[in-house]
Amino acid sequence: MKAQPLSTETSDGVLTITLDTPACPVNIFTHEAAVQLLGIVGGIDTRRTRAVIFRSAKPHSFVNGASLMLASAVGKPEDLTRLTAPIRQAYRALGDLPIPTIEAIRGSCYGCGVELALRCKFRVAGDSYDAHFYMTEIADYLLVPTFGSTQYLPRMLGLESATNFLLWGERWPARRALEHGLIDGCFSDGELDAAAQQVARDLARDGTSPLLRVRGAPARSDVEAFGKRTRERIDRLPPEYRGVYATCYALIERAVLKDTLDAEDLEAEVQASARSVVAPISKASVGFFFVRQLNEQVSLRGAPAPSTFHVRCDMSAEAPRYFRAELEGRRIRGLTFDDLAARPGSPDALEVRAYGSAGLESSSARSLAICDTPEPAAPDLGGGPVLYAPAWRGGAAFVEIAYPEPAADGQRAFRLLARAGIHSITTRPKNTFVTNALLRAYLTPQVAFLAAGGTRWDLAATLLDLGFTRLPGDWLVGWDLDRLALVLDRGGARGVTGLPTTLASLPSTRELEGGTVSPSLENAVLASLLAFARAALREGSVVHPCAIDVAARELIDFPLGKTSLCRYLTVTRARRLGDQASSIASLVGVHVLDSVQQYADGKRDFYR
Amino acid sequence: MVGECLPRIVNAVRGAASAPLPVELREEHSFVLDLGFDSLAMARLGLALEDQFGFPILLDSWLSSQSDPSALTIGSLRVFVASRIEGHEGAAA
Repeated sequence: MKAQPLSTETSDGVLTITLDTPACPVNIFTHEAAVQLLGIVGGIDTRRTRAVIFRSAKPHSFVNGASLMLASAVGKPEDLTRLTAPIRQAYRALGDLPIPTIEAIRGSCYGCGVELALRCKFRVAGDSYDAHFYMTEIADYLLVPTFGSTQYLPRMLGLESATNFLLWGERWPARRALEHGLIDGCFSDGELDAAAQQVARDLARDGTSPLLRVRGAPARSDVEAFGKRTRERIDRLPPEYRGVYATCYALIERAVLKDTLDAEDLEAEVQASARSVVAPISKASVGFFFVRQLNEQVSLRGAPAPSTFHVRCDMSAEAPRYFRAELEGRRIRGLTFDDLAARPGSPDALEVRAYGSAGLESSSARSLAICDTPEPAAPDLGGGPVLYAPAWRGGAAFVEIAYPEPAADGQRAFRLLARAGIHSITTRPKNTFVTNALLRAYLTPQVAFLAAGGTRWDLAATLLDLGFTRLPGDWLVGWDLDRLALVLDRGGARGVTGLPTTLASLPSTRELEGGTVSPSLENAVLASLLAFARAALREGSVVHPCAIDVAARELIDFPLGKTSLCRYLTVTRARRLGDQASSIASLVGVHVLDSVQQYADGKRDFYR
Repeated sequence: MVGECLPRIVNAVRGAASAPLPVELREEHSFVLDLGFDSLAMARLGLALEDQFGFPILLDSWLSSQSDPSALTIGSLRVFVASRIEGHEGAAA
C-alpha cells in the first residue's frame, strides 16, 4: 500500500495532523496530500474535536512548496486552475473549520507552505534558522502566487511588510516573522510541540492563550506614496520582469484597499497566476530549480548527510571569526562551535583556519581554510579544501569550495553551508579560483567599455536590457576593490589606470537615468562569459556546467529569466555572437573571440 | 536508436527513485502517478540520465512539454532523450 503523506492523532480533544511526504527529504504539499487533508477535515466532528494542529514530521522542512512539476507542466492558463483545484479546496476547507486551528512550524516554510499556514487561525514556530519563511514564487520563479498570499498577507501584515515579503523576496527567520505579525508565537525548538499542544488546549477552553502574542492592527501606509515608490522600483527591473511584478503588486494593493476578503479576490489571484505561469520567462525561471538541484547532487554524489556539525574555528584570525559569527547568527539546528586552540579537539570536527595562515601546512590536511577577500594569487590547496568567499562581506551568500580532489571535509562544508542557506559550488581550480575567472569575464568588458568612453548610464541600460536585476554597483558594496582590481588586472584589464576607481564607479540600479543600450557591449559580456564557461570546463576547474550556472546566478546575478548561463549560451547563440565579432573585438580579448568560434563550430550545447 | 535508450533510461529511473518501484517498469508508467516522483526526484533523474548517456541533460523542457504532470511517462522521457541524442544542435534561441 502506498504511504500516505498525512497522519493523525487525537489527544484531549486536539487533533494533530502531521505531514511527512513519503521518500522525500523535505515536505511537498502534493495532490495526494490535498486529497487526504480534504478527507481528514471533512471527517472532523467539531463536537468532539475542539482544536486542530498541523505540523511537520521533518525536522528541517515544514512545507517547501507544491510540486514544481505542477508549474512546469502547465501549458495553458486554464490548466493551472484545474491542476491546483484540489490544493485550493483543501486550504479552503482548513480555513473554514469553525474551531481553533494552529500551524506548528518547524523547518523551512516556503511559498505554498506559507499560504497553508495563512489558512490556520494561529501560527507558532520553532526558533531555529531552519524555521524561516520565504515566498519563492516571484523571487525564484517569476510567478504570481496561487494559494491566497497576495490577499491574506497585506490584510495581516500591512502594505509595506507584505510587499517586502511577497514581492521583494525577504526571508524571515521565526523571530522576524513574529515581529512582522506573520506568526503569533515563537518557542525554542525543543518546546515547540508541547507549546502548540498547550496553545490548542488554551484556545479550545478559553478562546485565547497567554502563550500567543496579541496581534495588533497592521501598520497603515500611505498607499498612494508607497505605490508610487514601488512602481518606480518595478520600472527599474528588466522589461520582461515588470509585468509579473506589476500584476502581483496590483493584487497586494487591491487587498489593502478592501477590508473584506471574498472568493472573487482569491479567484483574481488564481487567474493572474495562471497567466503568469505560461509566460516564457516563468518557464525559464522554474528551470533554474533543476540546475540548483543538479549542482547539489554533483557536489555531494551521495555523501552522507550528518544531522549535526561541530566546527572548530581559529579565533585568532579574522576570517574564521567572521565565518563563525555568520553561521552562529543563522541558528542552525545541530551546529556547535569551539575555539581551535582548545584541546583536545573532536575527531569529527571541521577545523576552519584563515587561508594563507599556518593552517595550510600538510600536517593539517583535514582542515578547511577560509579566504573572504579577493585573492589574485594562484590557489594553494596543499592544506585541504579552501572556502573562497570574496563576496561574503558584500552580502552575497555564495562560497566556492576549492579542493584538488573530492574530499569529505569539502562535502561536509557544502552540506553545512546549504543548511545555512548559503549557496556553494565545488571546484578544482588551476591558475585562479573559478570565482575570480567569472568576475574577470563579467567585469572586464564593462571596464573596457568605460575606458573606451562609454558612459555609466549606457552601461546600466545595457545590463538591464540583458536582464540583470542587480548591477555591479549594487553588489560590489563592501568589497575590497584594490584587491579585486589585482584579480581583474590579471585578466586583461591591464593598462586601465585607476582600476579601483573605475570599479567603484560601476552603476547601480538606484541611479539609472535613461541610458542607451549598447548591442556591442551586450554581445561582449555574453561572449566573455561563454569563453569563461568553456575554459572552466575544458581545464577541469569545474566538472559540470551547473556549477558555473550557480556561481553566475549567485555572484553576478545572471538573469533568472534566462534559466542559467550555460543553458542560455547555446551554439545557436554563439554563432550569432561570432557574426558580431568585429563589433566586440575592442571590448574582449582575441582568446574570447576564438573560444566563441570554437564553441559555435563544435555543435554541442553545454546541456542537451 | 530510440529503442536502444530504454534500458539505460530504466536504469536511471531506478537510480533516481526514492519510493519503491514496480518490478517491471513500462513505458506508460507515469512518474507522478505511478512512480512517486516529485521535483527533487526529477532533479536526481537528470543526473542519473547523465551518468547513463554521458552528457548533461536538463529536464525542464521535457517537463514543460506536457500539459499535465500525469502525462510525464517513461515513454515520453524516452522520446525526449532520443531527440537529444539524435543530432540535437543548439537549443531554441
